[in-house]
Amino acid sequence: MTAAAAIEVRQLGKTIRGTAILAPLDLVVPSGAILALVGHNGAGKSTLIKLLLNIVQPTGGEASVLGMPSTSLRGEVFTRIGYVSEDQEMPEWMTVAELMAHLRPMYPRWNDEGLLEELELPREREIRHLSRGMRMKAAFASVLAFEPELLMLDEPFSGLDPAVRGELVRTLLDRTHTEDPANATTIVISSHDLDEVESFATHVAFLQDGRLLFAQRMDALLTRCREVTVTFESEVAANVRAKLPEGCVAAEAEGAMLRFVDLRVNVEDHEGAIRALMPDALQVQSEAMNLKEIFLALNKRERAEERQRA
Amino acid sequence: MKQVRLVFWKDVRHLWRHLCVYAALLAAYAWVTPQTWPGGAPSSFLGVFATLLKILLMASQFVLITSAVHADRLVGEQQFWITRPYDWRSLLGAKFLFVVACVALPYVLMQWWLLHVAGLNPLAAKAAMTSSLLRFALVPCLLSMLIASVTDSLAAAFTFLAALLVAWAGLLQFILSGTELRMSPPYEFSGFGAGFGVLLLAILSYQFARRRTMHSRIAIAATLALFLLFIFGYDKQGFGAPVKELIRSHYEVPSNGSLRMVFGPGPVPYEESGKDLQYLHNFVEVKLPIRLEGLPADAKIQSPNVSVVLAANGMRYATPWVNASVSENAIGFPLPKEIFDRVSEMPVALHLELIAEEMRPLVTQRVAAAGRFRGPDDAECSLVGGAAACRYAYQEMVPTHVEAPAQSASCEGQRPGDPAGTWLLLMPPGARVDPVVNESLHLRGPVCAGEALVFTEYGAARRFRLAVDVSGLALRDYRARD
Repeated sequence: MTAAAAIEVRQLGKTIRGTAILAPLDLVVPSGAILALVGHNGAGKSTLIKLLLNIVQPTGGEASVLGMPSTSLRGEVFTRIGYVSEDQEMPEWMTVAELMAHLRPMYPRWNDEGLLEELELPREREIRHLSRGMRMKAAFASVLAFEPELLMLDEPFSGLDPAVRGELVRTLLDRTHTEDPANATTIVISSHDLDEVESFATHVAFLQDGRLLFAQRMDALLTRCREVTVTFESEVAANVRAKLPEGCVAAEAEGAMLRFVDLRVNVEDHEGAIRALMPDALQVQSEAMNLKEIFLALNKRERAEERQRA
Repeated sequence: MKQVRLVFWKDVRHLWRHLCVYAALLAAYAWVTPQTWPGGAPSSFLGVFATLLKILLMASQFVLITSAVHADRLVGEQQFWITRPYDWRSLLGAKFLFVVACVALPYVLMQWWLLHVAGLNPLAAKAAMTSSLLRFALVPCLLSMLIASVTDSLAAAFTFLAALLVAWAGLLQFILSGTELRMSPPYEFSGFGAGFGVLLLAILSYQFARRRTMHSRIAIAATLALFLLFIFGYDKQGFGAPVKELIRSHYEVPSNGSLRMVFGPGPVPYEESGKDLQYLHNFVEVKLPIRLEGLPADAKIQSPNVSVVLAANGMRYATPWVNASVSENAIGFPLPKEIFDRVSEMPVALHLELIAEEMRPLVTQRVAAAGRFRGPDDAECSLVGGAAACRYAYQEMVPTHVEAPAQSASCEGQRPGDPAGTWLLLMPPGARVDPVVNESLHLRGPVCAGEALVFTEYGAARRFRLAVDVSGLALRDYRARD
């Protein structure tokens, strides 16, 4: 295992009755990183998190989490690992204060000072009577209090309004990523809220239909993916589209205008490089993309490839 | 230990309503049951109510145990606790503590209260109490915990239990049909209890440690199959010669030869010729004029069983050890009807082995009947309206003969003047909800206050084995009367 890796995965996979829920994948999450697991519903994000936490057992491969084989994770080690999931059950009959009091003795460290107030959680209300947002806050409070080394968050913002989302993210980052990067908590978060995760994730992994398409640093991804708009003198866009090199996806041609996404940008003067590739271009515009746009472009490419295969 | 306490108190807080219902049921049962004992006010309604309470008690025990396990259930992927630092040993320990403290302890206290009301001392029957508690721990408690550990809801647990019971009863009926009269080998309960207790505990521990529900369910089904196999093979001698030999080896041939079996040709006296085993399909009872000679006059034969080998016209048939009846001039045993029909008309060579316990009177105690009086073996007896009854704690395992000598005191009853006697039933230990064993003394009439009753307790069992060979036997002459 890499010394600085909080999670290291080798050919980890899960098959149920002959169907690959998660194809064998490799992944390294450095300590202190915030990895956004991105993918549409059923892509395998939750399965990957559950495999890493030994909630379900893999059918192949291996993973180490905080230096331990994932399949051995139980009991004591969960004083170092926190998990919050949108569909995780809670002890509904407990009040928020009872939940915290019940958990406190189980952890060597426990710091909930001001936490419930910060999250505006009603101490004496039973969990079953909390709104969805409040429940999620209670779940966050119960893991942030023991200051975990690793936090696994499975769709924690699903169905929450922007205000609550923002509040949770702020509290999460305040409590886990302080000035000292050496003590930063490693976070793996699966989410559909790409705008939100883009704002704080340092790494991103893209899963599609149970396959890991790529995993890399967020800034590198944002740098290498650009949306390009090329205007030609005549209506040749369709011809040029057919000759686009590999790595250019989601192309749309309309008359003299060609629009595509370049996923392999590796030069500083990207517009110059496009001009060199397309000498007939009148105007070339290369724009940065956000995570959501990249996600949609990748989705489009995958669907096109599926159609071709079909 | 800290975590055990933490989880235990969490479960107590969570299930306090269930616990209140359970306590109310125990209290109701403890109030109603004494009224159903002999000597109480006779009421069929109370009897039905007590039975209903008993069923509700058992159901509430199942619900309580299941709910406690399901509070941190093992099946599923969404449970809160599985990504928390719960140690499985502590979790299992907490659930055991809950079962002991919140299910078993109140139950035992209720039983002690009943014994107290009956005038019995529970500590005087420690062995029986231990046996009763072990059975309670093994069957309702451990089994309920195991079922709860592989299900995710109360409905699923009830369904699993029902399926288990139906499968169990069906298979038992299928496998054990025709083996009802076979004797059980030694160490049957202790061996089965220990063996399967350990197996069930192992499955429970495995499920708590690994949460591999499908594996555990398969293991439960396999244990059930193994249990049935052992019941058939060992308990019912389905494994044949080895078990038969094991049983035989526990009985000794009397060394001095004073005790022997003698076949006396001629018919079996009518009053000893028994009744045909109509209630058992495909069996007839054979009553042979065989008497035991050399048996002391005051000895009692206990648990007689025979093994019979028949040979006729090239055909040979051997029975396993089966329950037998031994009277003054006859020994009776069951024989498959098919075999009987095949050999009844031809001369048969018969080899019969008898194994039994010879018991001798140990203690004779004369007791004057009164409203309440103390019987032997810590029995609490009573006399109400001429009907005498004795109570025992948990069980009555000592064969006891009760005799009312020729009536001397005058009372209103019409019991004949000659002595009247009765045997107290032997009550094996069991996981009964009501620990008070009530035995009415049937003495052919009322017992008067002040009348002397003679209790004779038998003991000092001596196991013996005897054999007899008879040739040219016509079995048709020895079928028990219809």
